[in-house]
Amino acid sequence: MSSDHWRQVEDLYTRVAGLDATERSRLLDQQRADAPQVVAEVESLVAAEPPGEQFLSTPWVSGGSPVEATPSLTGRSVGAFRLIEIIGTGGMGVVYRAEREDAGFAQQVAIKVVTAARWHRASLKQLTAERQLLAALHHPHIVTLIDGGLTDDGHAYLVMEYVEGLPITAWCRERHVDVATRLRLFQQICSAVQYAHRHSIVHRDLKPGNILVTPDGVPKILDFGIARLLTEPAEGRHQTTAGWFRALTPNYASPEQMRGLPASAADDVYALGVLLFELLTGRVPYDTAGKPLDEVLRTVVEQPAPRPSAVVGTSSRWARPSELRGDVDAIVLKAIDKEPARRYGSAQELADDIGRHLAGQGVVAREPSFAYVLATLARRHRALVAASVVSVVAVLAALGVSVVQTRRAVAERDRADQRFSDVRRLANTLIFDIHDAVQPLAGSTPVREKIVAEALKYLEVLAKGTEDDALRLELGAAYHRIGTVQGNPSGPNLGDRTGAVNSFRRAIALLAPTAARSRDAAFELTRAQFSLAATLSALGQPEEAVRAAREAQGIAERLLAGDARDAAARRLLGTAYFWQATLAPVGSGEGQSIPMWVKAGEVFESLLADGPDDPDRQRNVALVAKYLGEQYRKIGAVDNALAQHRRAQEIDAQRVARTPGNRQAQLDLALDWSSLGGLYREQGQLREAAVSFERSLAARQRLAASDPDDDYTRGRLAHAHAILGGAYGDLNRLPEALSHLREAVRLSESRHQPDLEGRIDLAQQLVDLSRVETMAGLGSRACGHLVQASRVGIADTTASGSLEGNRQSTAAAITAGLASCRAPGTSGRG
Amino acid sequence: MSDVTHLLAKWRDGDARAFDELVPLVYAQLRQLADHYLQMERDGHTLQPTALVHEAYLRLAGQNEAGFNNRVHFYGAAATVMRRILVDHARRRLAAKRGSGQTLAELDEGLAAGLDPQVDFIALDEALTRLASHSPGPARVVELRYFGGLTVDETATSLGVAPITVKRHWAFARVWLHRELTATG
Repeated sequence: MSSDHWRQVEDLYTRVAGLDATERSRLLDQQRADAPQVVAEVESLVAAEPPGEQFLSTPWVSGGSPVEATPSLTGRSVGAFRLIEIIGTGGMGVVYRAEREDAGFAQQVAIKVVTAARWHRASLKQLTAERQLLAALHHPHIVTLIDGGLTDDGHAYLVMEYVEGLPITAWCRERHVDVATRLRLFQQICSAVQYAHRHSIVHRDLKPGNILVTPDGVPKILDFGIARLLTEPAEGRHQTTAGWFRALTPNYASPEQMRGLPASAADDVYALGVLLFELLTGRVPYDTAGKPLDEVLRTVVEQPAPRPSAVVGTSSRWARPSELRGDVDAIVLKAIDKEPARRYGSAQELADDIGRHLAGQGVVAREPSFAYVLATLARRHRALVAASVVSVVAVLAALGVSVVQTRRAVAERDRADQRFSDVRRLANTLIFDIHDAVQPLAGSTPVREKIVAEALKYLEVLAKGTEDDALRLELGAAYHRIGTVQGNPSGPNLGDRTGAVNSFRRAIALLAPTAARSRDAAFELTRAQFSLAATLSALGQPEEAVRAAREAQGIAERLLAGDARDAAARRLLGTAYFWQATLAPVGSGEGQSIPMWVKAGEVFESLLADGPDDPDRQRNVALVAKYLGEQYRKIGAVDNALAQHRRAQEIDAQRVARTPGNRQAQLDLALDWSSLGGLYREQGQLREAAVSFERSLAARQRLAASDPDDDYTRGRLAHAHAILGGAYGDLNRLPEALSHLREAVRLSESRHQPDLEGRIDLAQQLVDLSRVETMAGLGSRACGHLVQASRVGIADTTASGSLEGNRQSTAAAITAGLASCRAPGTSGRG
Repeated sequence: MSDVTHLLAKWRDGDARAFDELVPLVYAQLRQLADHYLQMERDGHTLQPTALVHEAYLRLAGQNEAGFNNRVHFYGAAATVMRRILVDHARRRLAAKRGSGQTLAELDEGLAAGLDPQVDFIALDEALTRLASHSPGPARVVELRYFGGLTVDETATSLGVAPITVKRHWAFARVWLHRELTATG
């Protein structure tokens, strides 16, 4: 029969299915003449026994309850114990109260018989070994594992200390204990979890049912490490049981556990956070009851957790919202953050923060969450960030003023000291935490400057007349921050180089006296020196730049004289070589800096060998490879040059792949492509060159689109357009060449305060544009652009490093171009 | 992009070969998970196809790429695979029962207890194949809903039809299959 026939059957069946018998027969009779076979088939379907509700609608696998599936073992002997009665059934089996048979005294124990799986005799040894690890846990709040083994029919059993008590939530409900008591009880549980973690044992299934409180109010954690013991696949074990599914208690399982990732201590911290939530509110964070697993998973992984204070009603027996708002909310939310890295680092840290809250001190949970909230807001609304920052600053201003006033009152000295440190802490939070939270966000450059500048004012007030080393260090670091935002050419900045140099010098003046006494100050000092060197170089002052870098090298050598393996000092030494190589004044001949680069490369290579996954070490090696490649190119060692640049490109591509949001890695990769393009171009491999430049431009455009206010990014985008335009010019693809070069000039002209490098770029772009215009027969425009280039002002100055070569060749090209512009006019006469 | 996500995208765009490449990947994963879960039945867990397939998807496609459309299409592919797994398993059980020389692995003992005793998977599979030969739409709806655990709406998305069509196919297929399975002789 045709499928058309069956379509008619289905249609007709659908029409008659809902009808009563009379109507149905009438309709079928009407159709019978036209389609007798269709009607016969439908009649057969209608006449057949109708499928029941369950038909095809039940899940295709189901099981009975464990108690039904396993006959009770009451009265039987297991090891040296006799099973007395069932006291509970759980996810994995049945728990019995049992007594020791052979001893002259009555030892009561609890025995869990794991009916969910069977083991081979062969795996008994391993089971025993793991069990012994667990038996080594001795803590007043952890139920001790006494013994274990296999029953005659191959089920594992575990003998534990017998605890009479109630699950912690039930205990709190019955005793009506106040919030502070519950928090202290919870701290005891944290300390027990911390103890187990120190012994490398993770619980993995913390939940109220596993935490009993004795009538005397002592909490006891059950089943520590049991989940792993029973579910991890292990060699020789016949059948492993349920894996994550079994250990998974909805709400108490962390998002990463729900995803089936390997267990870690962070899972326990999460579960502790959920426990705290339930202890304080009587509820769990997410409504998962009766929902299918995939929906539960989606909820736990995606839905933000509610604040405990928002969950308890004003009439709740558990807590008043006002008791939870603020600190307690922050502590719970930090513990159950979906991102393991943002949770407390350990159960102890969680307990400590609760301790701080109970003692009325500020809790750790609130600071990062503040920055985090700000960063989240920033992601949604750039304008809002500026507004939030301003209001934060306003609060700070109010506090700062009252500090100054209060400090005058001798009677309130202690309080004033407290306020003083509060302001200091807030200012630092603003500069470091919030600044860092906002920095990776696109479009944040002006906001960052505002944050740093405002915070700095308050630190200055506090610093007046102080000889406090720690405060000098903070101030020095803060000045370094603001200088970086103002105009450090090594990263996104506002293009204010002179302001930046002043800020860096202020930082160095503050830090230098302290550096001999404090390692922190010494490193902060060298960072300021490097930033100063980079900025001076961009301002066209290479000698002063090199001097700053050499001072940093001296500091590194002093530190290494104390400890030659000191990784931080080695990195510092490499960085000092790096800067000296970068900034070496030109005139000493091409390739002169190669030995310095090789020295830098050796230092960074040895660091990378010690830590191959360290992103910082990867970057340093890539960076040196880039520069060294550039030097090899200059002396004509093309193979060496290509090898270095390819190495850099490879490392940078890995870095981008690993963290796509890392702007620095993207910048580095863009640079690699443009360097490779340059090399290909010099080799006459013009197509390869154009392809490389296209990749470089694409990377630059991505960077610029996400932060249009950034002067540096705009300058590099212009450069990328220019070199691609030049490459198209080489390939005689003139319209494309012209459009990219014009875009380059437009972008360069729109920069705020172009430094020498920016001016050289613009002049070079104008020269390139005029060259292509000449090729395209646009001679008069070409000469106009050359005149424009001559007015950029690069002729009567000296640049540092490799820039000087560019400057000279560009200046020469302008002169030569202008000469030939005059030539056609004179040739007419000749 | 993981292999699975990539293949799903190709399959959704009409590349039939992508499905053939996809199935072995999905099969291996689901087979492993199914064995794993079918052992658990004694513990009182009710095994839902949705949970199983969802887990397979997370493992194969990766959490970050679990876009709704990909997920639904994956469930569609997984439904076919689940059907094969269950029928293969039922065949092995039958062979063992007949004493064909194969000894029952302990694993299968666990499996045997787990299957819904009301359904003869082999008969259902054969009936479904017959249904598909003349009414592919209704047969596919059964496969997706029963073996893949998809809801009516998800089935509609997967097949690119309206939910009302899915309901109609479902009602028709149920009555047709039930008649086939209860017919004597």
